Amino acid sequence: MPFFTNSSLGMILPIIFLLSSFDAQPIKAQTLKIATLAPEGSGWTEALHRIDQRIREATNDSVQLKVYAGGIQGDEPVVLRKMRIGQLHGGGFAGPSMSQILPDILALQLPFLFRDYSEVDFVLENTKDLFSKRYRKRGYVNLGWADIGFVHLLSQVPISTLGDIQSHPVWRLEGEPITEILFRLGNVYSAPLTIPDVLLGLQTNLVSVVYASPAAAIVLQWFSRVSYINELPINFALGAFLLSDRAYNSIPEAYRQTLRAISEEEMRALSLEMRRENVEALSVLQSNGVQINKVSALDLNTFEELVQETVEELLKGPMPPDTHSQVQTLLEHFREEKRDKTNAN
Amino acid sequence: MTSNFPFLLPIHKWVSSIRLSKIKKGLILAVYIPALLSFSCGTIKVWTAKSLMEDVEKATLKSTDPELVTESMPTLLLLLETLLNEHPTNSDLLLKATKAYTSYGTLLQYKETQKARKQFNRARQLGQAAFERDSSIYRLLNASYAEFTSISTHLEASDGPLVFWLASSWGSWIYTNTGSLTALADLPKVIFLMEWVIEWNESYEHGAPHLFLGAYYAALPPMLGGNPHKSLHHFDRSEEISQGKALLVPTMKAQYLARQTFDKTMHDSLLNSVVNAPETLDSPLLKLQNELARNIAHQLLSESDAFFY
Repeated sequence: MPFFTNSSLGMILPIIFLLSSFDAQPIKAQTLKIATLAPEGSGWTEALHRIDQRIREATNDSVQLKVYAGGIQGDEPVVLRKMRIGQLHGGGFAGPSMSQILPDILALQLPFLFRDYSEVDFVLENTKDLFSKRYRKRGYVNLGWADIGFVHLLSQVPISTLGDIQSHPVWRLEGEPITEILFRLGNVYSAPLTIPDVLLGLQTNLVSVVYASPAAAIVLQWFSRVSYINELPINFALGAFLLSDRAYNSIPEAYRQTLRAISEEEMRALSLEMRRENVEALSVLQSNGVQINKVSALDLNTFEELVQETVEELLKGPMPPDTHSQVQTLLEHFREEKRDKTNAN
Repeated sequence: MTSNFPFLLPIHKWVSSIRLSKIKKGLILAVYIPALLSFSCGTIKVWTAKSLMEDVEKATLKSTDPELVTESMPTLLLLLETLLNEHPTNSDLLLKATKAYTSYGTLLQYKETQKARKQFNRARQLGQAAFERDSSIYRLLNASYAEFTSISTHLEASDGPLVFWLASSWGSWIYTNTGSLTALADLPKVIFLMEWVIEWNESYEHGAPHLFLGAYYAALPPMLGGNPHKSLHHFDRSEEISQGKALLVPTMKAQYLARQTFDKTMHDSLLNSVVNAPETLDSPLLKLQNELARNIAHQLLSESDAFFY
């Protein structure tokens, strides 16, 4: 099977240790154990397999990946624990673990932050060094961002105003700080559920409003229990391929940059694929009877005011102000330049 | 081996008889089938083909050579397509073709996923076409999920076999097509249909509906809708119904549940029980299925250390 490798890190490390006292020994194979919740055949695992193949070719099999797909190594918190004790070396992360690993991520996850992909790309490109340093401080190396996509409200009844949301039970991802504050300030009744419990929550009417990217709404089967998707994206969700600092440093220095370059390239390809999938997903949702509904401009202002209050509270808590400030400044510059270009034309 | 193993389907029926020698079988394929095709009377052709298929089906179950069965399938499928061309609404033929394509896909999926996907897709199309006789059911198969769930008020007990084979082929098509969101969006319908089959007759095909759901709930991580407890329940029920005689049950339990829960002890113990099960104790109608299970078990065992490393 393609994601199996032949050598065991547990067996190799003592050998490397024994050989380290001799000069000019050939570099031994380094197998990086990578876990992801994404099942085999998904875009995520395909990207990881491509990285494995390319890094093997580039390093004459000196560096390779063993991919544990489909959550067989446990959920994201378990994978993180295993990374800390060296049982795993890295993983694909996309859930609430993202901001638990690095709270700076909250500055990228704020509601209504990005208007389109050009803004996403500009900010990610220009904060690469910042996030890279912050991850290293926490003991991780970011080998590439990957889009989950713009997140939309999915509901059993049409949702157009804050009043609509206040009248229905809304799902909130357990342990996720932004929605916890946002819904509290907006007087929205929210039920904290883990992702696996949401489908049952929709089936039993424990919640009637949830949120996800269009592709995730299909993969998680939530679309089968809702009738509407709101046209307005409420935020942008991001994943990352993270390696433990220790594992990264154990790779021969000559190969570290190669691994980073290959991974970033493949993660970028994955992001573009996810963007295409989310467009397709929106059309699949419609062909499965899910209708699109809109938010009026007036209500958008109400939502934005609520988000501003949420940001203020987040800044007093988990979200680092400097990261938030840098992201906001970048976005302002980008929008100004865009306006100038439009006016010039 | 592909990692995209579809939901388990009983390995069946169809194709060549292993009771017969290869020469005799060759004669059937070379002489009998062309002879059938030369009949001018459609009814006789259908009747004769049906009779042949039933004989072949019974004999195939006793086969101990999955490879030979796989190689022989295209001839039978060609026969079925020829007959369907002349009798496109014949329910019996459509059901048999759905079964045949699903079975062929199941035999292929270990080595040729792409080719298997095509067979599952054809089976799914034929299974749906078989429901064209009932416009309400046919419309609901393609409706939104909320509407679709009313299909249970239209289905009757006599639809049971067709519902099982349609759901099996549809589920396997999705599982070999996970890159397609359009395919994935059909998954809730497939699960609904298979749950209906369990209500109708949970013992159908030696408990295959439970085996299907056992694999389904184990194949996905809990975050994406998988549920190891439900999986275990369905595998156990399938084991009880088949009285421990269907070796695909422990094989699939190892492949899906033990691997998903990363339990090497369970994995190896189940697979060793399969490879060590004496052929002489195989129930006659499970010989082919059990032989395939042994082949898969050997393969999975050979990968065990690498997988759980």
